[in-house]
Amino acid sequence: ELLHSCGHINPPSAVVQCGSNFTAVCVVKEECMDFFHVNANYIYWKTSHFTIPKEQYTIINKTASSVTFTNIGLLNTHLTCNVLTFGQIEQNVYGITIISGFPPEKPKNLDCIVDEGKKMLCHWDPGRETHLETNFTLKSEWATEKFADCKPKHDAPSSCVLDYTIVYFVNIEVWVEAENALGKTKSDHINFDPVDKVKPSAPRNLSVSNSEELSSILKLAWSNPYFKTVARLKYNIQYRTKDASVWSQIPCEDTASTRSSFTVQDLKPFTEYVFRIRCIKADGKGYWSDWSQEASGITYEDR
Amino acid sequence: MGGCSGDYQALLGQLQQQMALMQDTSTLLDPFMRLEGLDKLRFSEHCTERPGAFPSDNALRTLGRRDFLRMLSSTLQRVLHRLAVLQQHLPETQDLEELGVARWNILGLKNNIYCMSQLLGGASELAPTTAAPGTSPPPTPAPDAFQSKLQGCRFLHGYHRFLHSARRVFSQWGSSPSRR
Repeated sequence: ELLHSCGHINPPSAVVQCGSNFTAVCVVKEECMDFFHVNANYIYWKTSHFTIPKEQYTIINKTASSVTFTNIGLLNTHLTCNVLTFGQIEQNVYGITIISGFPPEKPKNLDCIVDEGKKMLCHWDPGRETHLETNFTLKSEWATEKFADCKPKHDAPSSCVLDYTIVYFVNIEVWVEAENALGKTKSDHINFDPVDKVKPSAPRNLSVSNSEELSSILKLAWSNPYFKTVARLKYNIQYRTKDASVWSQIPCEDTASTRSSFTVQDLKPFTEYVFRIRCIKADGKGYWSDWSQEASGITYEDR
Repeated sequence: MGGCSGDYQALLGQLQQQMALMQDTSTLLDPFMRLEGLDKLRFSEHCTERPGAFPSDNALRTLGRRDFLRMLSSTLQRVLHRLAVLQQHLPETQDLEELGVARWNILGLKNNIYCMSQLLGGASELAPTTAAPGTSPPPTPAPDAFQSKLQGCRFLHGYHRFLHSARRVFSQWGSSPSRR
């Protein structure tokens, strides 16, 4: 008759911090002890298939024995309490799961990005691997509104997409809380206006046209992203000859305000050039858009 | 709760930029008229603000700052209720995304108004349940669908005008949070 109900282990399950010490106590029922003519000395401990040396045992009394682990390493195993009965038959008394890991570290480098036209995504550095199931929760508030908790998706545990409409020009406070079986912590709060976290859509419809009068110029025109109606923009305009691989860039001071066209000068006549453009909020806050699609044009022949 | 910005200039700038966006009829009135088919009937002369629906330009300009903020907040609270009614009256098959965005923007505006009143040392409660002074109660429900659309249109017309007027008041606020 298996001794399943013949005893128990304290604690019933264990999540232990790596590097710490851990003791479990196995208590076997007296009637079982009597039935099998054994006592606490007959108890021995195993983790999965490995028998733990007797030096780590302590006999507490006739029916109880403890085992101690020091400076625990990374563990995710079963600890069993067993008794060797007459005829050298191993009887399992009880078993528990032991998992070791770390409490969550304070999440760092919390930041958010608003991809224009989409919801706001916040991301953070979760700190060291905890080896335990660790839940992160992104919290966000205005002064007058508290928004629903944002729970990261399983495949992206250190970022979260806020599920409500982002309102520009209203300061929002955001922070991250992290919790597992060994502890709970939270990041610093950040307080910002989402308008300063925008990654505008890339400029579109970039077109290039040459000038019969001037063979050294090409005129660019493009469509700005909708974000232009919310905030002023500045640009990077880059160009290269068709066969070159290195881009040249128009000086930033020349493209530092909202516009939808630009004339590039000092080009070689009768040469094909490739252009691309990107934009960001004029005060430099937020993120550069992706580059536009490239567009090319040929300067006019020299007279 | 989240923290208010303690920077008067930054907050005033945010309020002005919010209102600059929200006063634009393309954010709500125009899409509402398109959805309701009011834009085709050379309808604009009928879609005028109903007198008394919103505080007048002059009423806004003569208020002290805190009373102005209180008036703004309570009027916007009324707008939120009215937008909820408008949403219900929209044809079930159609949804007006701009209505939802407008609701969020109004909540954001009320948030900044609350922060400004905190900054000016105003009373914390900003949205009295009673109708704002200088405004008449909402019209009785329209007898038929067309009148209902007309009322909605007139209301939104007033809403945009009200934001325009309020923004002008804010633009006259000086660079320091002195109370008047």
